[in-house]
Amino acid sequence: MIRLPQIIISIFIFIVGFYSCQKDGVEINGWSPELISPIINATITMSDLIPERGTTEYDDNNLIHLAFRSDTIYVLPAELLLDITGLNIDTMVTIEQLVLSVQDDPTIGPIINSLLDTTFPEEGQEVVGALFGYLNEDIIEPFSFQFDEFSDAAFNSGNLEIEITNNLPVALENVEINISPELGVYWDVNIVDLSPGETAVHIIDLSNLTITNSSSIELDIETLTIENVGAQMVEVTPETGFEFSFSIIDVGFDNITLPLGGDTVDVDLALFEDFDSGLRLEHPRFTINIENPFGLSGNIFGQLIAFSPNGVSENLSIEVDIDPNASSSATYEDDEIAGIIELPPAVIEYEAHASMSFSASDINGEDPLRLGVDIDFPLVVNAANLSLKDTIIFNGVNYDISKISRMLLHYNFINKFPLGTEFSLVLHDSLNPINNLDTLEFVGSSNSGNNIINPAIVNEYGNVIDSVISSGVLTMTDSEINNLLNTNKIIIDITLSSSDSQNQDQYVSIYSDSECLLKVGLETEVNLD
Amino acid sequence: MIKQLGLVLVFLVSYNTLYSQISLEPTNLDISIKEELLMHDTSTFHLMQIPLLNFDIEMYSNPGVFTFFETIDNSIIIDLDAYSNHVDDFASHLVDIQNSLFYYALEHRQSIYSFGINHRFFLDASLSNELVSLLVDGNYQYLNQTIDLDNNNYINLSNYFSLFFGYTKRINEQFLLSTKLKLIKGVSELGVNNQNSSFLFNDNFETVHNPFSSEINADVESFVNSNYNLSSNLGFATDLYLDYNYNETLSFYTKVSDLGFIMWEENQYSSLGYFQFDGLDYELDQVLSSEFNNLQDTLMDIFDIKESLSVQQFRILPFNINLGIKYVFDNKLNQINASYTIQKLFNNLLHTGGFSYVHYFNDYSFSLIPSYSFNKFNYTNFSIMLNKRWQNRFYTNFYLDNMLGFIDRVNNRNIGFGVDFFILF
Repeated sequence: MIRLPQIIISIFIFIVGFYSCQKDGVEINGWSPELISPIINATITMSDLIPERGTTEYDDNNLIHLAFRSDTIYVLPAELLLDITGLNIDTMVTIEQLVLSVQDDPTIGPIINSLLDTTFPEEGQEVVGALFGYLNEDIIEPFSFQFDEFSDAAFNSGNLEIEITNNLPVALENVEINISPELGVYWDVNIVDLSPGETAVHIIDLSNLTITNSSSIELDIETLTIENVGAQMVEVTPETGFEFSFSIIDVGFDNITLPLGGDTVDVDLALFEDFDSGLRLEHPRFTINIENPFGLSGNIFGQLIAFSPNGVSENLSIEVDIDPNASSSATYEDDEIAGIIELPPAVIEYEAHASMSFSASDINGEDPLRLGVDIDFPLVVNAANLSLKDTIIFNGVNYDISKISRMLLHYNFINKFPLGTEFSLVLHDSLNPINNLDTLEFVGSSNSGNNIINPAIVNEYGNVIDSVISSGVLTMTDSEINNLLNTNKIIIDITLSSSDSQNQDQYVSIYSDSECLLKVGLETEVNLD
Repeated sequence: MIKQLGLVLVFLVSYNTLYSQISLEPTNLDISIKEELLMHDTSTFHLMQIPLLNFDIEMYSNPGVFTFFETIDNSIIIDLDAYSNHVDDFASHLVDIQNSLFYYALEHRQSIYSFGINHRFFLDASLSNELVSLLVDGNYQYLNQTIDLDNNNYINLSNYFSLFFGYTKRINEQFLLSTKLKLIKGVSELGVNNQNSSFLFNDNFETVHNPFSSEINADVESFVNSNYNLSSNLGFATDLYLDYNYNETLSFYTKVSDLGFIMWEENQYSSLGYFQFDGLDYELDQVLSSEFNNLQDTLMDIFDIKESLSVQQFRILPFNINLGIKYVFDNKLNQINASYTIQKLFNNLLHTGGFSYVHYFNDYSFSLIPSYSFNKFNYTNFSIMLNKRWQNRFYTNFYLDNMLGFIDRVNNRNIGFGVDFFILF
């Protein structure tokens, strides 16, 4: 008879025996599946790499252009022209200036200092009239009046009105002034017995006057005789002196040269940043437009100076006719601007002047004369090296790479870009922005072992008619696998080059919807033991 | 959690072998069924199994367990590569563990009444060579080949208790009838059944397509019981034994076990979809992670798993039917048997044929029963059973299957053993 304690002991022994035979664990061996899977079909269009912004535009056919149009690169307002035709220059020669100029003269300096307070108080001062006996033509150096409106001019009509106002407390008995607008041209003005407060007016006919490279009027007072009032006391203020006023009236120009200045052309040239030197476009155009609301005519001359990122420069001389009350333009294209494009330009500067013929009656209305530019560089290229980049944000994959025995990325690269394409993926970690983790280069088996993929097939017009396929496999090293799984930013680095074109004379068009397709499949062996 | 506990219970019950009943089958000279012993012995009227010490374990595996399973340094090593390499057309695994928790029989007026509780764990799995190789070796080897998976790819597990009441009576000199009615209580079930799925992986090197492409056609369903209440997952079954003595030496018999069903309350899942994938289409103005999420959503939509919760599902138990013939020699000490057994599997049948010889050592009240059987798993299954009667009251049976398997472990596709202790009083 089996009793209960025996049963309990038997069960206990059985349980202890069972658990004592427990194994440490179960291990799986020989589980290393070789897996293949399609992963991704990435489409990269030219619009991704050259987005439409700034001066980069797509036309109706999606051809990419560097296009810029501005009607107001330079504005010549009517006011400026009217200022020239009605030029008015006023200046004063005060007794204070004259006294200060003779301070260092040992013969009369001390005498004059003893006769008046050289600080010239605002409220004025009483001085002995004999003081003016010391003021003559010898103490007044020749002086000039500057004007900026023009430097060269050929007048066909008009008068120069010269007004001299006596602000001295005594009369001017005799004044002879020699006026010279430029070397070799002299006008003599003689004024006699001009009482205090009186103004003498002298008019000079400007017809047939030509001034060249001058923007000032020289005055030389050859004779100055002032009334001697002896010991009579007179009042002197800081404003006491002579006042000169020059006015041009009813002027007309056969020709006048107006400096338009120089500056950096405010054009976004970002598109050119992607290109290396040697870029050749099929039909670039650079047009200068002039909208002239006035009756004047003439020309604008200038220089465009383009600088490459390395400081190499190219010049373009420009000349544009100005037609009265009309629009005019000058277009520079192809070989004329090829040198600038080949730089490629990073900065463009200009310097220009206008040579015009007009009279005051030609300047009507308030609209200014406008100078504009119209730049159109369609990307139809013959020679180009174009570096383009775009970024893919990638969250990475949290995976123990020790389980990956091997990894191969098979790819088919379908190139519809019309240029030879060098394609790389730069693995980047934003936490370590200085250094890239790795670079995966797609070296195809069908492209001579380098990573330049042949350009797409184009027709005689440079348009893509068929794609080119490059296939290959990337055998990933452990380091590359690790970097690929840990990257959080993949930079697509594409270099397009015409060096591999089938026909070196062939121009190809770059359209925004041109695309290349990178189709990647994975082959891997994973150790799941 | 409840499901896990159910499975734990199953394995505790099974592998701790606390309860059992040997499947004696008609291989023993005197004990085709225990009730017959009670009927023969006119001095006893009761029969009771020793609780917790009766079990029968049958395991079939193709490939054989020892081709991919070994123990090294107290660790269990499962070599999946070896497993894959040893699969011919199909990998098949069958585990049938039957435990007799309690059994009592009473003879009354030449009829025998019995009742008891049994437990059964039944696992049936079939995986095609292609599926195994796909899972273990990956899909690279199947480039440009279509992998068709039919409905012979499945895993089915059921685990249930039986509360039975039996009645045995010799109808006349020739016929003995024994029957049991069983109330079945399902504990846990799990099934995954492929209908008609296919996979195709192509390479497309030097083309405008992705270097690889895939086509997946899935038609899979699965189920798991959802209700663990005591009153759920009930069913009924019957055992039937009929013995016909043709003459003194020759008799025929048939035995049916667990012929019945369980009405499972289960959650059912099915996925039917076709998906062609040749890479995630991506443009640079898209967010890569979003596109992968979209792909995942697309996959979920395509392979939309249809879920049917708490479905009452009628499922037939893994019954078996046995037909046999016995010939008893004149000395009553030797007997030969021939039998044919059909075991119902998930969606097909396992056919087993067998022969046994019984020699009874009268002086020792001991029977030695070597046998030979064959089925698709094993054509050389030589087994032995030892039957000993102690003091005319206490019976012990030991059963060991496929003894050649101990010699040639690599080709051993069949393991079986069991013990049975009962007493007549």
